[in-house]
Amino acid sequence: MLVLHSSARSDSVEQSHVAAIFGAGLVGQSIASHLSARSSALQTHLPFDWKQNSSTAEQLNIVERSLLKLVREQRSNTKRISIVWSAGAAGFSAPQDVLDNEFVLFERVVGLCEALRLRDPELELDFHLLSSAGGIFEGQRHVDVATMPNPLRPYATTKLLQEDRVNALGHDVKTFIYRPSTIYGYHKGGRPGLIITLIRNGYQNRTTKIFGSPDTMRDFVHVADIGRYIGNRIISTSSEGGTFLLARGKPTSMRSVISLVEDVIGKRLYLQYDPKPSNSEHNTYRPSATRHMTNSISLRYGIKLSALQWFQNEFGQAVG
Amino acid sequence: MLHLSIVVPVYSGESFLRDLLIAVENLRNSWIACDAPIQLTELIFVDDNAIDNSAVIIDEIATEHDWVVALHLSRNFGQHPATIAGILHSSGDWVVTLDEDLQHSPGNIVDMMRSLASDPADIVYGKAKQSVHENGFRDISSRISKRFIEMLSGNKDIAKASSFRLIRGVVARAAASVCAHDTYYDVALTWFTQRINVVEISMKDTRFISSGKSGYNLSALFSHARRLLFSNQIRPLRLVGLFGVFAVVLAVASALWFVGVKLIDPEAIEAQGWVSLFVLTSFLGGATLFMIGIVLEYMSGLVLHAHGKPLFFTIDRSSDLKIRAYFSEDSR
Repeated sequence: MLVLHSSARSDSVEQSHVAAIFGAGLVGQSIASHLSARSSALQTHLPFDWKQNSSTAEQLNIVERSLLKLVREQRSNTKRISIVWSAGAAGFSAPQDVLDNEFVLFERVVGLCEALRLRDPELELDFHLLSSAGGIFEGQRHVDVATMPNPLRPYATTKLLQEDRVNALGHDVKTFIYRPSTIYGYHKGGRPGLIITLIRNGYQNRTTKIFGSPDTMRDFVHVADIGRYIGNRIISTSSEGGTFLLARGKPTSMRSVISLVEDVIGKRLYLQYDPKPSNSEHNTYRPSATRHMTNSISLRYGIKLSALQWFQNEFGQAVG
Repeated sequence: MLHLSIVVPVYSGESFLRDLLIAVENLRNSWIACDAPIQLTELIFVDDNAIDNSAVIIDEIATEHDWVVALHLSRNFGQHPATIAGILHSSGDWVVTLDEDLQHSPGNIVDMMRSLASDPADIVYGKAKQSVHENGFRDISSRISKRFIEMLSGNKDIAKASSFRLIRGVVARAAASVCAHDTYYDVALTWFTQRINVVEISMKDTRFISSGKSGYNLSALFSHARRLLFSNQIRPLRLVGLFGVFAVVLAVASALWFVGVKLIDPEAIEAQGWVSLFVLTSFLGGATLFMIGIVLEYMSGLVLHAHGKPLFFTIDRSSDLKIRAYFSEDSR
């Protein structure tokens, strides 16, 4: 997990702010990068082994003490802790037992928030949950703020349960629930999504198996946009909590994505389509519901950026 | 439930947009009321750097109705590129494109749907029953140019094309995604399907009839014709090669003829060296053209690749049953 600590002065008020990001994957790293850039926050890694279920409670106790120590180090008028849950080893098609294990961990992190409140009633606390619009609105088109989720998989049901749990935290904790559509981007060591897989296999002349159909539509949003949006909400002291749809309002078919990747890397892709795709439902969002996502990265530019990052990591050299 | 998207490129539509919205909304509400298997779920206005107040109006409309999308292009790109931009932002199972000036009535979309019920297709064009512009010269010249292009390009579906289209969503977006600068969209559509219907409907270009002004001047029409022809890609290239072959054959035949004449009646050709010069020039010229034709034949493969013409395209038409069942009922 990542911990970022910053102190800031706003309206004659000194604020000591600690953000604890549970889940240092694609989205967690992006949030941390934005926080570091925008707020000059100091970044620390706290060891937190998800696999050691038996020692999770003990690890969380250590985290709780560390966070309180960090936030109290500075002489400041206000102390604020933001807890971010961007973890999720379980993917879209994860079975129920894997999701149940993850929910147990999630519950403990929410419990950490409640424990912090008990320890220091004057702490300003906010909880940021990375949910999944792609999961809870699977198969739905023209999704907007009024659309009701219709979960089709255990993954989506679990996400909704997480949202309910966060909403039940109480009025003294500000809660932010983010529902991103289809996130893409490069993260070293992480689970590669469709676009990174296409880029990698394209450069390596390998075949990519597509589990959707060529005409399946998604709303792709670059992880930097997610990191920027969530990061800004974490930094801001005046943001109101709520549920936020993070999408671009621009549907794109698999076919278009493939064509863009071929264009960017300058090579034809070798593809294999699943004749019985299990993930071929369209998922699109109304532009009217995504107006708050301003200046989002275009898909073409996002693919170029991802290809550059993959290439730099793979070959360790700058590309012109 | 199936979704229908409507795409409207906008250039100078301030006098018509509100009325167009009302007409579209009436259709949308009627389908909701009848619990139709297809719903009109989005209306996309594409502002092609409009020359009047259209951009402001479409923004207002989009704010008032969450199912309306306002897209603004950074500069004027033309009707086809604006249509393509709108299609690429659509997500409907079926997509309708129509003009901003109510020349195409949204109510006629039902007639186009009915044609699918009786004759399954992937594209339905709305064609005018009678003279659209009430200007004989304009209407006749439009028909003649389309027939000429059809003959030159070998594409029989070109004459059916109009800007009032009902297109299967996957076909619309696939064709839009492969269009390049000079690709004529309706030609690109024919790369993906041959199932094209035409429905005759009443159409009047009230803007042209009342003002005498068209959205197109002569140079724009020529540009259209040029793109239409060259989107059919390789025929013009092959014509050069064929001409080269013809020139070589002519050269050989001429050589045989003139050599024969020289042998039989040497006095018939008075000019010394003329025969050999003629034969050599025509043969070399023809051979050069023929070799250029071979090069162009290879280039045509590259052109096809660059233009995005697919090797194959798979499609799922299983959802058509619902449309056929609903729109084939007499009460509708």
